Amino acid sequence: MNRLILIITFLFTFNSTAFSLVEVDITRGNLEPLPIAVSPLYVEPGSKDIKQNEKIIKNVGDEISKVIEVNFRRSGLFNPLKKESFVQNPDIAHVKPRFEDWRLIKTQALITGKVLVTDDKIRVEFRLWDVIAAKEILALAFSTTPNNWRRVAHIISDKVYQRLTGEEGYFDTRIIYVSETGEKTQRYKKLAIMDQDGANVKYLTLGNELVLTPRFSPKNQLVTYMSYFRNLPRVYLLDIETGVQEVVGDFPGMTFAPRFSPDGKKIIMSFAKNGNSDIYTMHLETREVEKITEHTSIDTSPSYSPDGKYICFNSDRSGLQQIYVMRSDGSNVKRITFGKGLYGTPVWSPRGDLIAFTKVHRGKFFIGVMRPDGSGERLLTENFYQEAPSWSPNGRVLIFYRETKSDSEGKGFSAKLWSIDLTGYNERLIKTETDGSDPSWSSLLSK
Amino acid sequence: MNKEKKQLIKKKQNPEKIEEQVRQTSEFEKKELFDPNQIAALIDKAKEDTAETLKTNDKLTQSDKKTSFTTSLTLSQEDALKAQIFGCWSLPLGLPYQENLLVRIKLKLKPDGTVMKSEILDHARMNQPGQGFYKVLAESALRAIRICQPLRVPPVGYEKWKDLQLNFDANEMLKG
Repeated sequence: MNRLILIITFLFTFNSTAFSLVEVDITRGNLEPLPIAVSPLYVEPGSKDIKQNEKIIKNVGDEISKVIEVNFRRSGLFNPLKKESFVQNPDIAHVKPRFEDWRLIKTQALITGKVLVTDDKIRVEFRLWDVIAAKEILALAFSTTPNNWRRVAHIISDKVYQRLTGEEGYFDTRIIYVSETGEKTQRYKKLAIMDQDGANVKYLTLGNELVLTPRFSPKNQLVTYMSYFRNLPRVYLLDIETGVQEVVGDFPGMTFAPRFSPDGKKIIMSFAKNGNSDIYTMHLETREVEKITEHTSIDTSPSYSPDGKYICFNSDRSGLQQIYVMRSDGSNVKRITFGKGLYGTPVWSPRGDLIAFTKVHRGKFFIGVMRPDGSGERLLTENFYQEAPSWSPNGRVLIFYRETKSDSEGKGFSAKLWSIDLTGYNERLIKTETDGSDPSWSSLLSK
Repeated sequence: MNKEKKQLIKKKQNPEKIEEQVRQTSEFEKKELFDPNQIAALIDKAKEDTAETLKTNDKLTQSDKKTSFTTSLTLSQEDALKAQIFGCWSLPLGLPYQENLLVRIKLKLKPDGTVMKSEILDHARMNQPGQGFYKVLAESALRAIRICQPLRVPPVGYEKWKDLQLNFDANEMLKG
């Protein structure tokens, strides 16, 4: 019997060796941006020019492809190839591309499409091709008013981004910020809004009153911000779609940074009462105010977790400005920062996995991220002065503002908006007509 | 905070008389609480952590090598194949770190290294909701194989490697 078992065991072992599958682990690859070709969209015969403001756009297909290319290049994840190297013309929109030609220029993905503009409508159709697999992997069409052509370009960018990265895009979004002009000692501050790529700037206030800390609702196109009426802080709500504005309330003392709850029903902020700054919420429908922290220290900069269950905030209760996390009812307060330096402006990521912050250490300002328990601190960028990070809706990119050093008379001063992604490598200036500060990123407009 | 001691104040706006005049300041300026010369003295030394900017973190790591006993390829044969595929694989840069981002692809090869058939072993995951990152990674792995072929296989021993499994594991790089 024992002998039989031995024979069976031997045969089994022998067979498994003879037919064992060769396995190889691939643990390295290129960390270069994905090469992608964005062919100009083919403008169909009979298509009209678009008149927008003072400009006439003759080849909107070409313009849409340029907007997509800029979006992709700024994302740091894609490398849009130069159009001069393209072997096929835009009129391939109707047919399968000659993949072997596109492989020659080393692209891995290709966008083609066509556009037709009539008097009151633009229809855009696009296809995304996997050049290596030689197959179509996405095809969509959109119709809208002709003046919306830039939004169509952003929506296409989002769809392609999502298909190629697996996460939601952030291109069809807006940024609200404080536009600044004038000398450092006498700045005029206006509320301004623009597309995430810096286009379509609009000024929402006149600049005769100081405005501060505009914040988008994560649910809609509602904005809350602070302004000063007769030198006293006042919190406003502004509907970007309708332009309707209302006063939420006047608050005492030092009031800071109202921010929406994840469901958009409340705002959370800090203000000082009897000389002590605590955190409060206000229900926007009932206007009921609820005190969340009760401490003799200075508590500021509250920000909700995306599930609404927790709040991160700033406090000097340990003697130095640090970041704390608590339950949304104010209980279970825990300090999460223990590194060297001061920490401020904590903002919870829309994905929930990270908290962004500003850190001051040895006279330098850093923008960084950490997990909600304070572990895994990573400093993404360092500069003379920078603060106020705000997350893109997909939780991958941060926008913030950076000031330059000025001389004793205030000369040489500037404030600019910058973005950086979670890798810390892809840092970009966002060009604005004027100086800018306090940016806040909207949710996806097309969601 | 002691929850029991906490008092919730609920009342209608406008809350109360405004007493202080407020000026615009930044979050850091507003408290004027730190003198740069005294920071060191004030630092909470209870737990000191260090953090470095990501600029200095530029490393790629290489996984542990499998031995020829398990793969039926010699180490140098395996290295040649790996090196070839490393050069062809464009890792999707937006992927988050997830421990289960491993794509296993089974190949049937011709003697010259051309791919006759490729099969994603966990193919069902490709179309499951919430598996967008897996799908993107799997597609990038398939592209790498197509770009690379014919694969750099040994000139002899076809029977040993005609069926080959490549395990594309992004975790090492995503961790970095």
